[in-house]
Amino acid sequence: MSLANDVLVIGYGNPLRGDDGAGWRAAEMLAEDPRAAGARVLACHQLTPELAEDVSRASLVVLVDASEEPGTAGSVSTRSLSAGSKSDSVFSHHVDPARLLELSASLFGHSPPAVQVSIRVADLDPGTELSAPVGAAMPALVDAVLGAIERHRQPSA
Amino acid sequence: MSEIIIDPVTRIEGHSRISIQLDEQGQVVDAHFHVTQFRGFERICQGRPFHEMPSLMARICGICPVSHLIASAKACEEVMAVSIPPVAVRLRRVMNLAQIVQSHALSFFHLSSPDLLLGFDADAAGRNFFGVAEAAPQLALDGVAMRKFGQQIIERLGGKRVHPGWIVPGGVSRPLAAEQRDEILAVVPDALERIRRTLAWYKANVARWVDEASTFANFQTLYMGLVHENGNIGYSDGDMRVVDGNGRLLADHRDPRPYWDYLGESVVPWSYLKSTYWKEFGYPDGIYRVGPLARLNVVDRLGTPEADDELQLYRDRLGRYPASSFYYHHARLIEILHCIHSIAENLSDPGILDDRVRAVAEPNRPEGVGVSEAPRGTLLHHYRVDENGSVQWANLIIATGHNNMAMNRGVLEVARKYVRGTQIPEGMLNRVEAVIRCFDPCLSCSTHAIGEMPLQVQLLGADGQVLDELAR
Repeated sequence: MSLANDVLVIGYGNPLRGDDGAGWRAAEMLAEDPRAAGARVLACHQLTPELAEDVSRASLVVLVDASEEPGTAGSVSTRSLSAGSKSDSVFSHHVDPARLLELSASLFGHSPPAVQVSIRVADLDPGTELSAPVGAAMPALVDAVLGAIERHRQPSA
Repeated sequence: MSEIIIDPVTRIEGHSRISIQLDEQGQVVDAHFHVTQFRGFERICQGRPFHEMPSLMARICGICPVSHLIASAKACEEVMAVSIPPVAVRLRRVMNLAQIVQSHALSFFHLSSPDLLLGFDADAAGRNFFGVAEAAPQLALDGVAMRKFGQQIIERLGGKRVHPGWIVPGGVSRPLAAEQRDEILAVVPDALERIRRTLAWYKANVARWVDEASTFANFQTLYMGLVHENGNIGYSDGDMRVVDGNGRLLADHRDPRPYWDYLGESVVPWSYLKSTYWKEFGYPDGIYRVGPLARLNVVDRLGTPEADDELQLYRDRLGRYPASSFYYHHARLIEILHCIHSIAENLSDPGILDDRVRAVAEPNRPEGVGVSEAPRGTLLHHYRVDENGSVQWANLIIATGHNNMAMNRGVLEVARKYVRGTQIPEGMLNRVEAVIRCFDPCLSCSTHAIGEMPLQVQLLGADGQVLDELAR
């Protein structure tokens, strides 16, 4: 059995909006990376309720996205997520990560540990190219995802 | 004169606002559904090679890109002067049917079931899909599964669930593998079980919504849709049929492509969404509707036995030509049932694995029109190209544009029922939104924008002063 089995990686964002596509690009890189062998890797534009079932079946979920939070462009951060931190946003056809975990728990009875790995953006203008700092940091973004998987595999490490 | 503004409307695809005009006595005199964003795809495509159009135009919408792919590819094929291989016709049908399932599921379960289940006057903070998941988990589960069913078929055929590039001018880019076919057929029974359960739930609860059904754009119009020669519903192919509320045929077996012969297009200064009208009757008398309600009104039958039984029950209860736009909801569920059966029928065709899936040609005509039924109604793409196949001009007519006049009139009806004086009743606010939601308008497609935002309502006096305001 692969060490990454039952791990779900979801890279999301709009690959036509510059750095917003970083999560999508990371998913593409991870899908080809032997270090992530066994993990299920999805690339999507946004998180949707339909992902709740996939989430419920995973032992770990790693969400990879672009962030507009203050910080140095290209810097990567990792944080744990939990279900239940309800937002007041009006729901249409996409959900935020906490809502996705909440839906996974309420509809499918299981909400696994989840980690969000984010990269600070520099440019969200229309285009298929990443900015220089974000492009240069993509290996670090991928490594952060692999690190989260590794910590899940060896929690005491 | 006073004005109520709802800006923007929530749980629809795109940005809009609603304004309601009051006279000095506080009586509603007019209402407008404003679409406030512009995208300009008709200009973006100018100068591009015609064969790029399907993949370019599919970017109009993340919900129904398949419809744009099909209409665009058909317009290109008229430019190429080719007929596509029969198996490509059938494969496109399967993808379009899958898209209708997932889009209808989004409309019914994710966007409208919160109102239906929790009540139109329930607290807006909890009146969403998460509220449905808490109050009726099976309904929410069925919604998630139905949407996934459609998306996974699109993904299996096209390689990805959003913006698949598989539908191309001349056919499709690769044949269907037996393994893909069998994977799809294997999940059909589960999908059927879920839509049967949802139809039963809807019919068991329909008495709760009598008031809404009587006031949600409940007026006769013309109805338009694509119909096969045998009277069965057409989605990605078929000819046009138009009927009125008494069943009078205004068009039948009509080639839908020369739309300029039968449709007029009008614009208003307060919206980027143009209105189309039945030319023979002029503007605004030529009001008509498209989409699930209209399709069920124009067809003789759907063409799959179980769905036709449901259609008959629907007609037994509501009459042959139901007028209330509230019944778009019921019509969507019946269409989902039919689409699932039809997917299975098409995939069971012995020729479905044929590997001749694409015709190839250079541009042979200066102009082409493609027509297909999108989930929300009839979709037309019209291109003109130069001798090198470079697009010089494009025009799109989208389902939401067909329905624009009916939506505006529906808003006016609801406002007249609920608005009194200079206060904004919460019930009015909820129902004005809900009547728009019946049509499932896709403003991303029609103008072209995407997004969703909180709700703001303003009541303005004749001097522009805010008399009342509600915000979520």
